[in-house]
Amino acid sequence: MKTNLYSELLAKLLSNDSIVTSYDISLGDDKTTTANVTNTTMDNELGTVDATFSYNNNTHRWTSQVNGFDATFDGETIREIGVKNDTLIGRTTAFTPFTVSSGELYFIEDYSELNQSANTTRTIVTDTGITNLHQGIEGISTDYPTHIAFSTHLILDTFNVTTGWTPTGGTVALSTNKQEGTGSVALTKSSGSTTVSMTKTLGATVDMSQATILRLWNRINTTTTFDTFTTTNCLTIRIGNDSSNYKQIQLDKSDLFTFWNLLQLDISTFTTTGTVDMSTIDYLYIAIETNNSTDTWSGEEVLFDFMSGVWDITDSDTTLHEEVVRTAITIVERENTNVTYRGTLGTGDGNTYNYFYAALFDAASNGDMFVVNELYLTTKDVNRQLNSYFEIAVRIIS
Amino acid sequence: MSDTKIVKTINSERKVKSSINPKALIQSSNVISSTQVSIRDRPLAVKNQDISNMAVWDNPATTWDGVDTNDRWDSYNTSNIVFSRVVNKNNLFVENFDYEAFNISGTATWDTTNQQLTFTSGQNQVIGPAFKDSSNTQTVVAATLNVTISSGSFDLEMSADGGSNWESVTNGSSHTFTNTGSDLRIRITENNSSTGTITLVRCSYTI
Repeated sequence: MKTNLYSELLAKLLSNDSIVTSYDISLGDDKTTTANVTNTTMDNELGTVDATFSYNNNTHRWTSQVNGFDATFDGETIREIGVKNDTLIGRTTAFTPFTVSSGELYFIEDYSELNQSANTTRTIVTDTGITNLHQGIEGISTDYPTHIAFSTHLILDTFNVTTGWTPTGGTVALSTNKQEGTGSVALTKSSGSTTVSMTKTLGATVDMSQATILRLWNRINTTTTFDTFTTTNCLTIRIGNDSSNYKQIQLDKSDLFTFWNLLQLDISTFTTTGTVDMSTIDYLYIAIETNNSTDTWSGEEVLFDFMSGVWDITDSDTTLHEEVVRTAITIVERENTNVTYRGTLGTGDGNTYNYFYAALFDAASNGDMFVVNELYLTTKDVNRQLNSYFEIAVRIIS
Repeated sequence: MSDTKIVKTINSERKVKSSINPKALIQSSNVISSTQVSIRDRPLAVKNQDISNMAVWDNPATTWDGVDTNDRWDSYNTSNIVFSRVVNKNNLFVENFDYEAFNISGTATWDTTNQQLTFTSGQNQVIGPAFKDSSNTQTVVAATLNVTISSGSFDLEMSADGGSNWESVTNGSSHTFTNTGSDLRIRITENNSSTGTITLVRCSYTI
C-alpha cells in the first residue's frame, strides 16, 4: 500500500516543491509489523534495485528486475517489498514469503491509480491534471497550478440591450433593474391577444450540445400583473435554430413568483419541434400567456435577464468554457497532504458577471487545466474583491 | 407542468462568505473550492523466469563464454515468465484496462487507450491472476465479481485454481468456490451474438 509520504509527494508536486524522481524497489526479509499508511521504514531492508516509472491514463507502475545471482538477495527469504524515492512511499501488504534462487530472474511490478472518483460531478480533477501529476512523479514535467480562472455559463443573451428582440403583442424596453450585466429587458403587453412574445435571432450561434440546464432570470413586478397569467403554460421558452426547429418548455403559474425568479430548467425535459442542432443555437423565443386578450401591462412589470446554458464538466475538459478572467495565484500553501491556492480578483477585475466555475491553470492564458469546480453563484462588481481559495487534498482511498 | 421539468426556481443562492474590509471599505467575497486527488493501490505482482540455462552475466552455473553453442549471444525469451505472487490491498483486485499486465488470454480487444475491453460475438477474455500464491500456501475460498458493463451481455466465470475449473458467477454476488485454489482468474464471454464493452472489473476475494 502507498504511504502518506506518497500523498505528500503528490502535494509537493502540486505546490511546486522539489521532489526526488529516482525510484527503487526495496526487498526485505522481515515482516514483523503490519503495513500502514503511516510507515516510514520497512522492518528490515536487504537491499534495493532501480525501478522504472511509467504511466498510462490514470494508472502508473514501478517495475524492476532482481537477478537471483545477485549476492545481496541470493538465498534470502523475501517477506515484503517496498517502493522508495528518498523516503518509503509504498510498502506491500503481506504475501507468502519466497526464497530468492540463483538461476531465477524476478520481475516486480507495483501498480497504483490516481483518480477523481471521490469527487462530486461538480468538482473534477481533469485528465490533464492527472497526466501532469504523473509527469511530475516521473520527473519529466514541473507544471503546477499558477492561475485561477473564472467563467460564466454559456451565454445565449445578456439582455443588456434590446437590439435583436422583436416583440409581438407588446413592446420591449431596456431596464436598469437587473440581476446580471448592465441591464434587463422589459416586456410590455398590449390588448388584442392573450399572448405576448419576444423573439431574437442571435448574431452568432452558441454550442449548447453539452448544456444540461437552461437558465433565465424573470421578474414579475406585482401581483396585479401576475394574476393575469394563465394557471398552466403561462410562460413558454424556446431555444433552437429557427421558428420551425426548436426545443420548448412551458411553465405553470405555480412555478413562478412575484419579484425575481431564477429559472433553472432541465433541457432533457424540453419537447422538440422539427430538428434541432444544439451545437448551433441561435433562435430564442419567450412568450407569456394571459387569461384575457384585454389584459395589459406596461413599464417594468415583466423583466427578463441573462439567458444561459449550464454545461457539464467532464474529466476530459481541457478548457474552461466561457472563461471571463484569470488571476495569478499569489499564495500557495502546503500542509502535509493538503495544498491551498489563493488568488484575488481586485475591484477592477472581471466585474458585472456572476461566476459559476473556477479552474486551476498553469499559465496566464491557455495552458493545462488541472481542476474545475462549480462555484454556484458568485457575484462580482466594482465594490467587491473576490478572494478565491482553491484547496486540493491528496488522499489514499481503498 | 411536472416538477421534473424545472430544476430550481430561486431568488438567489450564494455559497459565499462576505466580510467588510474596514480600512478600504471594500466588500470582499471569499470563495472556497475544494477537491481531492485520490490514490488507489492496485496489485503488486512478482513474476519469475528460469534463466539457469541462459548465458547471463553473473551466472556461475553457466560455462560463461559470452556465446551459446552456436557462437551467438543468447536471445532473450520471455515466454517462460510466470506469476508467482499477486497481492492486493484489502484483497481487492481492480482492472481498469490501462495496462495489459493481467491479460492472460482471450480474443477480446484490450484497449489501453480508451480503458475498456471490447467484444464481438462469442469472444472471451481471461483476466488475472487477481491473486496468486505459487507456493499454494494461501487459498481463495470465495470472491465477489463486479463488472461494469457499458453495453452487451456476458457470461461471467471465475476460477480459483488457475483455470482448471471455471465456475459461473453472478455480477455483484458473492461466490463460494467449489474448487478452491491459489490462482484466482476471471473469464468473461460475450453471450448474445452481439458486441459489448466492459470498462471496469473489480474482484473482492476471501482467503
